[in-house]
Amino acid sequence: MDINPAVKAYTNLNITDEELIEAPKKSSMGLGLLSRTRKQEPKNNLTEPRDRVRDYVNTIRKKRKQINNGR
Amino acid sequence: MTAEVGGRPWQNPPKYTTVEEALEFYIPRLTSDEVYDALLDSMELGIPLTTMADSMQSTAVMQGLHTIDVGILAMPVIIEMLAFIGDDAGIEYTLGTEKVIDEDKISQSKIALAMKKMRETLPKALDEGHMKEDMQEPDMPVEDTVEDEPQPSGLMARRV
Repeated sequence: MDINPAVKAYTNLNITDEELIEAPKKSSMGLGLLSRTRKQEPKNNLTEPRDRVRDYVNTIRKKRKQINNGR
Repeated sequence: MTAEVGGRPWQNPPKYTTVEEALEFYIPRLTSDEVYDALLDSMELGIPLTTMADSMQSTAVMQGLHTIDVGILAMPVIIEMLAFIGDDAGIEYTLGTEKVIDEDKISQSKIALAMKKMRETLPKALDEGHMKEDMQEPDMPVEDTVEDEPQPSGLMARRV
């Protein structure tokens, strides 16, 4: 019987491998004076604690992957 | 055995009220010299990271550092941080999230059910057994059969 709440808390974040792959940044078009006004990217407003925790775990996991891939 | 309300640390307002504040407490501690070696030793011993994180946050709750809610929320970050430390040190650790299915292991509920059934059926079986024994004639005594021992065959051996 699984009685450790840590296991549930950890697995319930459901972080997929796709989330760990960093998306390539878009080109810096539209920075000129005559360029069209660039639409601002939606900011990540992580208000819920669960989302923030997910974000922290994601960040650490990315770093962890870097360590493992570097070996 | 009992104490006044508010006499225990966990009955008072916690020191860290948000996840971020709690993590600011945990993460420097995890990487401090005092704790670092002990953590690596525990990982090498095979203690799951989830168990370590759970005991850490339970202790902090008892000390009144944060609430259980904040502890539960902070746990995944602590586990991930422990995994990071383990990877960085090149130690093989167990997360504790792996599901191990042991087919030979019988669950406690099944054992209890079988025991209950046995208790129900056993007295009946015993009673029936006694009845049959009473009906049967007493067994004849069984003679002890002595196996033929090999006779000594040497020149100096006694003859029987």
